[in-house]
Amino acid sequence: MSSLFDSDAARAGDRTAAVIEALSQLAKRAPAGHLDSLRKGEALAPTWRIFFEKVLASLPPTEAAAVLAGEPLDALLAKFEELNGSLRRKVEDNGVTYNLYTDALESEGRQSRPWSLDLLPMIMDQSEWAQIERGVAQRAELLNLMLADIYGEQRLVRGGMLPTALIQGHPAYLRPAHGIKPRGGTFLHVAAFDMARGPDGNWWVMSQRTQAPSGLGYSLENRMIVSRLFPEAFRALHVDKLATSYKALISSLIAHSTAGRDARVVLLTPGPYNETYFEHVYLARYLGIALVEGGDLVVRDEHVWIKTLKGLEPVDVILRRLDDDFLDPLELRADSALGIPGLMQAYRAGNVVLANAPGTGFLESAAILGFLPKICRSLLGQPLAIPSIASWWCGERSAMRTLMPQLSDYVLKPTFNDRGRRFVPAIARAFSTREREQWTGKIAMRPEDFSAQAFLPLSHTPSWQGLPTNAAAGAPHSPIASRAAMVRVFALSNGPGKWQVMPGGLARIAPEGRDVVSMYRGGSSADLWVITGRVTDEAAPLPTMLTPLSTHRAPIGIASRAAENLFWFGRYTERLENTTRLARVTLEALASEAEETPETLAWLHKLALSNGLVSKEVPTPKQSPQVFERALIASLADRTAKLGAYSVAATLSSLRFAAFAVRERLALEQWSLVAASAAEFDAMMSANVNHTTSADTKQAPTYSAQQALRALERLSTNVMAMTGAQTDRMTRDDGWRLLSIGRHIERLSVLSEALAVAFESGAVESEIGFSLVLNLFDSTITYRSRYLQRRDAHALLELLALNPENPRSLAWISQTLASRIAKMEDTPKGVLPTMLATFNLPHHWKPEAIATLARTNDPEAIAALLHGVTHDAWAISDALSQRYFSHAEGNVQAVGA
Amino acid sequence: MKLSVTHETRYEYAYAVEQAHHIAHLKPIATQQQLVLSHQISIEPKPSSLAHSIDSYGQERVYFELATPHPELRVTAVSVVITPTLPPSMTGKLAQVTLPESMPWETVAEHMQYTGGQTFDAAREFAQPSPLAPVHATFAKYASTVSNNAMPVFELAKALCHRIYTEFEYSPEATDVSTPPQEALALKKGVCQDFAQVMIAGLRSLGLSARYVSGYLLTQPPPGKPRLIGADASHAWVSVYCPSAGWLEFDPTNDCLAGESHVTLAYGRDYSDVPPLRGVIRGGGSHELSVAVTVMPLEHTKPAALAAPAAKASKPSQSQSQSQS
Repeated sequence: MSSLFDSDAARAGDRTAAVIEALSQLAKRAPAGHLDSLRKGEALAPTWRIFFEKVLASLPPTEAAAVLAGEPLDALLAKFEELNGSLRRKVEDNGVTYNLYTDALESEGRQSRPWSLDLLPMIMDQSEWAQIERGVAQRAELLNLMLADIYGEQRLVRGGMLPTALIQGHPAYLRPAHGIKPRGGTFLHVAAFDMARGPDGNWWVMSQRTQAPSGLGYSLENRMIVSRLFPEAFRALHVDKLATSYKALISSLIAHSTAGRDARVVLLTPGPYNETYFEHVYLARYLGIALVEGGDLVVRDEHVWIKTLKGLEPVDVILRRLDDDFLDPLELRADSALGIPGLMQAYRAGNVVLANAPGTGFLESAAILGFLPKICRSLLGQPLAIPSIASWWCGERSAMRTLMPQLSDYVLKPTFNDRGRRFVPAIARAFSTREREQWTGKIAMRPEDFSAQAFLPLSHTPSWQGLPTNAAAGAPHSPIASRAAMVRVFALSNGPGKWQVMPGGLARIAPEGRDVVSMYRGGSSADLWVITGRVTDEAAPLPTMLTPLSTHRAPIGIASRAAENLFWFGRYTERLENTTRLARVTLEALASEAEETPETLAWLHKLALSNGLVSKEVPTPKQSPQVFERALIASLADRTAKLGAYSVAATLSSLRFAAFAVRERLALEQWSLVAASAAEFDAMMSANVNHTTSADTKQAPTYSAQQALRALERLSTNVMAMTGAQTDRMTRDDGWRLLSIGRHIERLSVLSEALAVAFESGAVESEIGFSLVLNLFDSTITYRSRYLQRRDAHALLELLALNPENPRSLAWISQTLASRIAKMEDTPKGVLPTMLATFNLPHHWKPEAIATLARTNDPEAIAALLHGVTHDAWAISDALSQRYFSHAEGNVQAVGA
Repeated sequence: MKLSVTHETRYEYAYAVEQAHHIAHLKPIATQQQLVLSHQISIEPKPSSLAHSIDSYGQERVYFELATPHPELRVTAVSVVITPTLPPSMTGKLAQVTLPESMPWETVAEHMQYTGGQTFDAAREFAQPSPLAPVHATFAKYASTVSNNAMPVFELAKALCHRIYTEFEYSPEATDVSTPPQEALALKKGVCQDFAQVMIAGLRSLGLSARYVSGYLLTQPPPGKPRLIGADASHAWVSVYCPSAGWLEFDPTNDCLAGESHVTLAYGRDYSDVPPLRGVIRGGGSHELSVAVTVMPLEHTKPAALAAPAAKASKPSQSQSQSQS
């Protein structure tokens, strides 16, 4: 806002202050006994004042003027609501989930949830942060020293500073890791600390996460989204950037490897069924490192290798999100199918950096916290810079006796995290007399298993609730609520013996009226804005999109698993295109005025069966066109194939799953397109259901054919965008080649079969059948321009089987397939080209021979030739899996004697 | 007694195994009681990579990889040891044995608990629950049936050992190497490993310290019959702790203390810490495992060449097991 006159500026300033004051009045206050971080005393905290001022300033001039002129705050609140809408869309577009969204999970009754993110950031000022930064860096150093001791001399246990029960008695203390000194003495590369602020304003460490902490990916995603919604406030508050920390982590990982600057780094994930898989994909992509599963890696000669299309390539650093137990079935859990046999030995031999080192999990026990003050003084010669919340381990009998009379001030937590002994933390002040007796009894039976932490009334942070949707609704609604919050702060290794604390992290917000914060139990998250006072580069652009950090590392070839996923991504894309087209052709044919010949109906029915449009229980269109049509439409929308047909929506689900698995190789738009197409098709199909209003609930919902056609048409357009992106937007590497091979194999098998059946059934004899075949091959226009009204088998075969320029002719498809495969094979005498040479593929067919065949008027012979192509396509697919994909090597099993 | 031990393990796979990683705990441990005079391990086919390392209890392990397809794996360990001789008062069936003095078990249990700044005792580790010898009320209850107030800890162990010996049926088919002791206790059946793990779990559930001993047993051929080569098996028993007296070893399979016929391979919390041979293979389909153990007194007999393995167990593809006495 500019003004020529100081007095105007002053008056405008007054009015701004009044508006902000009104907004502050509107925002809910924290309940008594909880610190309200929105306010300082009665007034708004200075950081929040700046924040709101900047949002106000971003209003369009007329709306800003209206608000400033004393109108209600509607325009300002509407602005927040609009931003919140953008946020929701962004979360949805990016496909951010906590649990992976798959139909497989859904059919098991598990729900994936979209990532829950608050519009308002949590803001931490310079003085708060200084305390946290120092405390967290010190703790990371302390915990690392403790690990060096426990996996070395064990002076802490020998000196009685740590109980044997919490180390040797903890399942997360790994004996196979004993005696191993990781390079640089660094056990922890990523440590997370959950911190909370008490009523007096002091910060406390509530828990420590040392094994494979989650949140680095979500923190980044939150920042990308929220900072873009409030660019002015973000700059004005000098919020510190996160990118430096991620870069430093990668540099540090590389610095710890013997491979030096050429070190190859991978991110090891348990796989798509893990609840935080989204962030594994996201983080790998941002860090510019390969995302791998255990099956992608192998240990040979005590070194770790990754299986790629070109053979084994070395791996030097594993940033892992797989828990300790599962890392190595040879030395850890034998039943783990996720791990890498021999990994512990490679680590022992110093040939791989594991971040974090295996065996750090025992530090996560709540029981450890109470021992830290003494240990810190002993190992670092200084007091803990930031205290832990008062914590007691009941295994120390004197502590248990002190604790018992004051139990109601505490939260009971499990000491150990194994199946038999863990339990949901219990807030003792909520116990009934009976419950209290039960708990006391359990503790007395086995005190070692129980720990207690003081109950801390958490500080509150503002949370955007949206505008009231129904003005009449009872309690007065405030769009800005007050919620209990905790923050997860990350200490990252910064070269051997050095730590950096990422200025930001994951703020986690409790549900309304709750004092326990957990993403797992329905909490939400917020971007954590940290003001360090160090940011000088105000003009620095905001992060606008996820661009991988620049890499100077040797690239890793395409991992076999990624290759397989790309292959299936290609196949499902093509299958989606084919089923969508076939469904349209079929529905249009059934709806058309013209009378279908029985041959044409038989052809359509056979294709509908083999392409999964209907199940075989459904009557043929000849028996009952209406029933057939209804079943076909119902199956279109059936994502889990419960009607027995694997139709369009089911294919879309598979495609989405395949796309999810290869996300780190796709542009974000490609993934969004798949996700959005699936959502849109779902929505259009379900809008289309006419639920019967009668009491007869047995009747299946009916759909309108017209509506279904509209949904299919819309989907066809989306599929064109998908295939376009695959053709135009991807680098021509072997991964892309496999995707393309997948598409061509699918197309070859489907179209050769369709054509074979068209001849076999006699559908091509009628005019309608003939035009439907052309339609299915998307070749009507070309045919008309070439052959005008002519209609004969020879012309049809010429265009659909032999033509080298029609991308839907069999010869074109098989030619492209063969040339892609030839480029894939790096060995001089590749298995696949040799195999291909023995096949009678359409691009080798002689035009004269086909002309003769067409003249003989023997549909059976033509069909036999075409069926041969279908079988060849399947054989190529099998051979490809054998040659390139890791699972072909046979199962892993544990043996013992 | 001077004993030679030959332990041969052979896997025959239905299909060639493409790749394998193994770890062997096959070298007898040298202690103040047991002398190890010689030890060799041979592996066929020749491993592509092999490394020795020391486990957290100071015992040697061998890691090896096989990176080329192999239809069969044979691991043979040959060792010569001298085992300690017990005084005559401590040999024979437990009922006749006179035990060394020990503290009341409640005092020992209290010693195992943590108090700030206490002096270190490495035995506390073996009072903690472990995967195959956990702490549970069921075991506490079972062990309580033989315990009295202020009973010396070794007397308690003896009573528990004898109870397991009399109550449990020796049955190789009832369990396998991964059977949890809860199950063995419910069945009252199993092999030496199960007997040992039930006893350890019982003692730990009372707060006491006990460890698992992996080893071999010299069996006496029937009078007048020659010793059968390869007929022996791996063995397991229990080592029980008392702060004043140290460790004393009980064999619940044979109702005796471990003596000169017992060759010690390794100590652990339970079987899972020290399996003689553990591996992960890729491919191979189902496999046949045969284990042949020969323990021979060297003063009397010359070491003989190995005869055919005594027992063959055809196993389904998933895993594992061997008979243990």
